[in-house]
Amino acid sequence: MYEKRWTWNETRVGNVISKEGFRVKLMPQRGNLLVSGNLKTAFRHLGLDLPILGMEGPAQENFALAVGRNKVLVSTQKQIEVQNGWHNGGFMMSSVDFQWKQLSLEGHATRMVLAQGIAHNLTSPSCITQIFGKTSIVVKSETGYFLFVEAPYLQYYTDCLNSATIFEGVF
Amino acid sequence: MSGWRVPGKGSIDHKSPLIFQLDGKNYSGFEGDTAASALLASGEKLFGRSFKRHRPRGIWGMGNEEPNIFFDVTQDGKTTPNLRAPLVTLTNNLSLRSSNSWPNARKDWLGVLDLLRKFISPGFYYKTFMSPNWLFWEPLIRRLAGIGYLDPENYPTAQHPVKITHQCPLMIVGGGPAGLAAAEAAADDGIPLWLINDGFELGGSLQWRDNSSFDMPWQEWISKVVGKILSAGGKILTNTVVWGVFDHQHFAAWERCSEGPDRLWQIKADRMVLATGAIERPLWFANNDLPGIMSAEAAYFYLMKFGVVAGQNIVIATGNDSSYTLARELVQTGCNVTLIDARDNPTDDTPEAVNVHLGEQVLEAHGSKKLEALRTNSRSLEADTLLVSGGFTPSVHLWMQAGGNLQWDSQSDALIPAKNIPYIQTVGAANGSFELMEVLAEGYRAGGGKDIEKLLPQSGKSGFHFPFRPQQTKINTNRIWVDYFNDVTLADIQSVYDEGYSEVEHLKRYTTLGMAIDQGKTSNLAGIFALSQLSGDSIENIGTTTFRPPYVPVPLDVITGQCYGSKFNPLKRLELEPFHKNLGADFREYGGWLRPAKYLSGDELIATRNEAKLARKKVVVFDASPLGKIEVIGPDAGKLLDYCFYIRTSNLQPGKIRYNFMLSENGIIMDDGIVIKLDENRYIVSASSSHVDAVRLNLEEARQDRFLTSPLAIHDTTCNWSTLTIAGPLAPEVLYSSELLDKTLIKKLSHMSLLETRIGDINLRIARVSFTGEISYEISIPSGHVANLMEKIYPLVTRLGGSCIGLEASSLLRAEKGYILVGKDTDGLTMPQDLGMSGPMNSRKDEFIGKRSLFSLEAQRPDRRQLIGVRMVGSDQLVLPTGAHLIPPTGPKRSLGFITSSYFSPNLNHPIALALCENGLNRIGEGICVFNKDKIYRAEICQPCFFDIKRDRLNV
Repeated sequence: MYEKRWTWNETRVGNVISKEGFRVKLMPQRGNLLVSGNLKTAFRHLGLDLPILGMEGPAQENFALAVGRNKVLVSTQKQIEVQNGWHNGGFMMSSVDFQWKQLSLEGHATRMVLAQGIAHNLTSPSCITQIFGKTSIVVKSETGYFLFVEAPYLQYYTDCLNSATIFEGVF
Repeated sequence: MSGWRVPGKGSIDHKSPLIFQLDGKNYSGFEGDTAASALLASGEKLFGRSFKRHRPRGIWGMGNEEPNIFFDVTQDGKTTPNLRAPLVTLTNNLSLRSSNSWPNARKDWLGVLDLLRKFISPGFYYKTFMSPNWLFWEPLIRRLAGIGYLDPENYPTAQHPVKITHQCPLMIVGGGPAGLAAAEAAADDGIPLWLINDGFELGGSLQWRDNSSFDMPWQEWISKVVGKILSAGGKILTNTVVWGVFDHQHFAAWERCSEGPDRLWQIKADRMVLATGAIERPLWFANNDLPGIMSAEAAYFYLMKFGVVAGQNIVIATGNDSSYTLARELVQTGCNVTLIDARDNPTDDTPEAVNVHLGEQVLEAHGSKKLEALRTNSRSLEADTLLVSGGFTPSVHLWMQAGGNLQWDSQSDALIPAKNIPYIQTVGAANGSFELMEVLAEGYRAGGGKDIEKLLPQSGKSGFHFPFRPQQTKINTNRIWVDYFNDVTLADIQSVYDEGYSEVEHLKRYTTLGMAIDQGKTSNLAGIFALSQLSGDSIENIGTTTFRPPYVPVPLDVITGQCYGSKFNPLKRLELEPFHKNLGADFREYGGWLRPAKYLSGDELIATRNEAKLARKKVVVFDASPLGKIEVIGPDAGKLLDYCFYIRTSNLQPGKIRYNFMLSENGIIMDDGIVIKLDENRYIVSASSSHVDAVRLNLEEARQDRFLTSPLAIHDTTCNWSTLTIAGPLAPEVLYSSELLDKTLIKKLSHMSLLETRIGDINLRIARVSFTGEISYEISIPSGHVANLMEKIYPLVTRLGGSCIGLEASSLLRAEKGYILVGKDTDGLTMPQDLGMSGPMNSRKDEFIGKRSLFSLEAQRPDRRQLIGVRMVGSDQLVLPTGAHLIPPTGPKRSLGFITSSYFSPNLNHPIALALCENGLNRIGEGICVFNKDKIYRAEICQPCFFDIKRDRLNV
């Protein structure tokens, strides 16, 4: 059937889409850590000085993305070793290095492509939202946007971004 | 021959002729024409048929309101059904097919239904087709029903419509004089507004109506406004229809693009100005549906825009001044024009060379397949065209979709918006204002303009006084059509009113009035008028039917946008998908994941049974990665889980595992799974694969409801981990022989226990749990490392004669053990005690979700459906169909329950089935009958466990 014509899950690190005005790259695996509770104490414990970003970003080398009340996804350039679970400082951590895949979106048409999947304007203090109907995390980068997608949906997002239409005169 | 083209008139390109076909016959038109204008110019009148009685139909309107002529349009080999003639842009070699006709509209054999009208009165389908039975009539009715032809080849392919979101501070819907005036005022204030216009060209009625009141050409004014909008950073969408208003000020607009794919705009607007105009009403007189009778405003439109004159010998029937300017224009083209005005004292001057008869109304039209003559209350007239104007109905659809109210305005003789929505303003004809100067002023004010003199070029009169309500002629009401498409007459409305259907919503559904493709744009208000006159109640009291999106028919592929094919139902993909693919797995959707159904080649049933046999005899690997891994962390984690689950888990020892149910507040089982206690402050909830999101939400809701001040977190880490299940009697050997794992630790691992360990610096969890009844180890590893792990494990499995198994074999194995799948072996009523697990509900003193409901009268009923096993009697090897009903072996036949899972067990060599059966647990050992498709099979009720009942294989 038509809806069963799956493309195989074959997206690999590196350039995924390259079109006029729009490029997508699957970034190398970063360190991802879910942290809840007392965030200040947690960051001190990690020894990281992390800005907590909303959708406006912009993302830097290491950053924390607001994904809920007192809940962030800490994204670091390298995976970090932590003790998962409860900490007496009043925070909780879970390593989720492989939960999210990070796509880098660049080019002047990026905002238009995102607008074909996102339900509202990119101004939220929380980075988590529905994009192309699935929960993802979006944050501005210095050159465009980073899109964090749940690993099992990577191929779906690749398909969606690849089939997005680019036309002039909107953004 | 009546309709014709005035050379050089209109905005079409007279030098670019086009050829197209309707029902196989060639017609000509010009670049810029629509199908309606070109056909009208052909001189013919009959282009379609009505739905129910197959009455002849001609063009009535000029846009979305067209109730008569719909075509299946074939272009480039693909057919799109049910497009309204005025909205079909003409191209060369366009092929049109008329709707509701066989073989074509000109000679429609089904026209015989008009002779059978006495038998197809309103609601006839509720009263007829009783004998011999419905199934006898159904094929015939299905053949006659349905509108248009759905081309199976018309798959959306390369050019899928684009869905795109945007937001703007002000959206103006309608590019007519009111909308443009609003836009000018807002743009002057620097507001980056969006102006959305249904047609290609801006200007609305300025394009065809008398606009001499302007002191500059209207085109110049529009150019000026367009310039201002663009300078302010605004946007103009033409050929775009706003079809839906949704919550939180979201609007849906469909842009029909001539080049490139269509677009569905999802716009969030802070403020909206509705300048959507009005629709002309038909008049009531006998045979008012004949081809050749059309809207006077539409005729004006076709004349000025396309240079098409609707006829030669034209009668205009009106009750307002709007038709006088039309009469003047028609006379100038050389037509013979007669104007019949129901008023005694019109406010406009009598047009020259027009025969004007005041104080007269049309009572009856004559003709068979087109208009030939008509009769008024004073005279008979020959005519090939009758243009009627029964006043104007404001287009308030979007206003009503937004939750607006309407109020009756006697001056405009219309229901107009009651101004109860602060973020929407209606202006112009949509607001019941028809005077051009008034329209412009309203629009200008809505756009924020203050100095109105700056806008208005000059004052003047546009002539829409004294709108005329259709009069009840009371002559031959069964020949007065209210809904042209669905053939609803005035007599029909009288008839259903007499039957007791006196509410407007009932009237709509019983007669199908307003339910055609045009959605009653010309008929709904007429129906309300009729009901008002019948009941004596006011129009305001009668009210309208509910206005729902879409305002116009929108193709499904526009709504779907890019969500087509596999993107329509996106599935989660396994990290090991390439590995499974290389092994030759057949993939299928299971609970939102694309997973291997089987690996072995050949017939699926046989392959599944062979895989299941392998699991019982040797060892198999199963990719169980989608199983939930929801971490609940914090000092109160145990309390939260105790509250959310049926069986307490806080009393578990660290490293231990417990099978559990999550119940809804009604006590119904919504998921089953295991809960693992890692340490005093950290648990993992392993929800079933397809229920992970629901379980997480339930936990989160409970946390926020009862534990908001507790330091407690719910981290769904499901997608971070992949899980390989090694199952079978040889499973321990696989783990022992692996150099990666500590053999001593594995040996110590008892059933329902967990081991946290590491391979190098990689965390690993090994859980001794089983969904097959065999010794099983669920090895969970961060997904990025699972491919390496599988590369090490799989050769060990194959060396022992094992292989991978798919979901089908797994499902068979668990059914042999009587392990349930929630949603398959349970339904929306199943409670834990129905599965024989009533212990916790009786022993727990603390509160948990669903507890109260477990003690309700319903929950205590002795005849509740309970899980049982069903075994065929004797040597019958039939695999019972899932869903087949259980019925008593003696006495009256009634359903006691149904089969929920059914397989042929390759390990037991006989069929097995699980079922839900009334009072089933007390019927163990009794005979039962199974009913399916008129056949009855004898069977026996047994324990819902068929294999290794004593669990010897698990406790090795």
